[in-house]
Amino acid sequence: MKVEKKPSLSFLNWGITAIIFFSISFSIVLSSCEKTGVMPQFSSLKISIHHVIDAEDLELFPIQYMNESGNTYSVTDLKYYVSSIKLTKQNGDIYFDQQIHYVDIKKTNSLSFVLDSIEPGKYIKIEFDLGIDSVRNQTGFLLNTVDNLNMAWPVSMEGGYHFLKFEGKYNINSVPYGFAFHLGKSKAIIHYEINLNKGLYYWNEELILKHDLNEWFKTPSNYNLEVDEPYIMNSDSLINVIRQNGFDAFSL
Amino acid sequence: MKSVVCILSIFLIALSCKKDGQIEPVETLTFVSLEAPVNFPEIQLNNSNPLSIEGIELGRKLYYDTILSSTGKSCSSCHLQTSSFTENSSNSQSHVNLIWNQYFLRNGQIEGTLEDAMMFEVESFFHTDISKLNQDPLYPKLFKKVFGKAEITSKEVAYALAQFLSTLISSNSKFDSYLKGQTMLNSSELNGLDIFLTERGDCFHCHSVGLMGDNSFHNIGLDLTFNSLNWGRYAVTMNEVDKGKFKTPSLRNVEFSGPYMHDGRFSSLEEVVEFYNSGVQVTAYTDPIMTKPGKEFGLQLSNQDKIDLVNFLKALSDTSFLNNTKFSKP
Ligand code: HEC
Ligand code: HEC
Repeated sequence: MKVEKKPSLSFLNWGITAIIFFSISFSIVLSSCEKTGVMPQFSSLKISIHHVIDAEDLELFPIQYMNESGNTYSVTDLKYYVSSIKLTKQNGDIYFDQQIHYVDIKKTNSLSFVLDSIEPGKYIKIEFDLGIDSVRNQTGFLLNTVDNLNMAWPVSMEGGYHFLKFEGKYNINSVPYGFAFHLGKSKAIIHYEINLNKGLYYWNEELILKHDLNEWFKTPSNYNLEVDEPYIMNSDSLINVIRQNGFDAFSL
Repeated sequence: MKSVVCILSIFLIALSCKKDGQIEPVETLTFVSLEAPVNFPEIQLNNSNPLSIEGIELGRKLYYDTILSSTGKSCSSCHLQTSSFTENSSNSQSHVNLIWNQYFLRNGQIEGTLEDAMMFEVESFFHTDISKLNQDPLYPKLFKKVFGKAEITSKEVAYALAQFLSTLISSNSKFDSYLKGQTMLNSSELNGLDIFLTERGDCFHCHSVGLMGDNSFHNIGLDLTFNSLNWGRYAVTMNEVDKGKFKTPSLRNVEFSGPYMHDGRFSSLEEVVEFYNSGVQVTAYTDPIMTKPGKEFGLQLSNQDKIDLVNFLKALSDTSFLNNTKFSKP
């Protein structure tokens, strides 16, 4: 009797092994399908920021660009925060990204970021802020990384963080001077709203956001570095002039 | 069942693989952790070199021991605690808060962790003869205790030094207690701080509050022309834009770390402030922050402003660091 039972037990054993084997391979096949054919439950979107000056790709140094006022200039540093990204679906549903993304032209891996768990569908609008909303724009709010600490806006001037550091050089009679567009203080936040026509159905969808630095020098105000203050941090009204110019700095 | 066991054992093998190449510390060590002071970046501890009291002690012993060199020098020959671990004649760099550094040496030639920097010090700078350590009556036992290995290699020497250097944290200056609301700065220091933090001096854009440095490189307009003596960061990157850029030094304990700048050209803080005030050279390489219109040739500070700025810089001194017996010769 006992002897007879043994084979059936080992049969059961093999059965379990087979079930485990098949379920594992099945799930591997399934997950590999997700990347190719079958629509996944969620989509993810990689947003890459592409920095340009008019039609040209941005290159740091030497002085080689010209703005609307005819100043020849270079870019030596560009750092900013992009936050509160919102995607609106055709049916009105909204995807919201809580994160505050730090962008530094010198750090390639900061030039793109991935938004996860997006409901698949057709999206018709992207919104985001350059800067940080007043609730979070408080000294010490962000994780104390070296980058965030370097972006600190002095407590004696309302605190929080620099929203933008756009620095470079410009020539007057071949003498290279410096300019620094530093935006900060909560009311300097810039909200962007750009129409989209993009289906997000799969993983690793991509969107390229164009950031044209020449836009900071024009519309509505032609900013002339030879005449206007090239250094704006200490003046709320100059911060506002540059802020107004920045509204069309991003496009698709 | 068999396959479950199989999967489990593969998992275990994978786990044990992870430990390969790492030094297995012995159980009797007293591990410690470091905490970031207020306004400081988070500390990225190096998991491959867990800090222990014994490891720190060993690093400290090595730091003060001439056994590391063939020239009769120890690290402390050029890095004196009372001078914030600098030394006048060699114009060495101070050791404050190095645990937060990503780049070492003034041109940032070494990029990475303190362990990486110490590998450079031991192997390339000191050319330490490790056999001397292995033959020493005491060191093999101490190393065995910390790293659990019978034989000492330059890696363990570097790791022990890194453990000691990572504890050299200075965060207890008058300015720190002012930020915490525990001490008031006097009116001169307050005016200095205002210059430091505003457009008047704009020092904070590079000497960020906290570390008082920015882990980055700048050309501050010390020179008009560039050659192999003052290439700075360019010597490492060969990138034109980096000519004349040097690592922003922390200003903590700067009162004691002269002479100043990469070549030690200024012997006093008054001279440094006068440079920022009136000596900045405008070239294509000068950092934009240094050449603001109206201030392109300096800050145009009054005599009192200059005194106040120096007084503020002295409020960054931390005597509890300079006198801490845990950092001194064992
Ligand atoms: C002969 C003098 C001398 C000796 C001995 C010496 N140093 Fe230095 N050290 C210097 C100088 C000079 C610099 C700055 C080099 C430069 O300008 O880039 C420096 C820089 C450093 C730095 C870089 C700090 C930073 O902020 O990037 C570290 C770390 C350091 N030394 C550690 C050590 C250790 C550890 C030892 C012993 C193994 C040691 N030094 C021995 C002269 C010395
Ligand atoms: C554009 C960035 C920048 C700004 C702005 C700046 N510094 Fe510096 N500072 C540096 C760099 C880089 C060095 C090192 C230069 C070198 O090694 O040759 C330095 C060196 C110093 C030193 C000498 C430290 C030492 O150990 O040698 C002092 C003191 C100092 N700065 C104070 C100030 C003060 C005060 C201000 C404001 C008036 C200021 N800095 C503004 C980047 C800057």
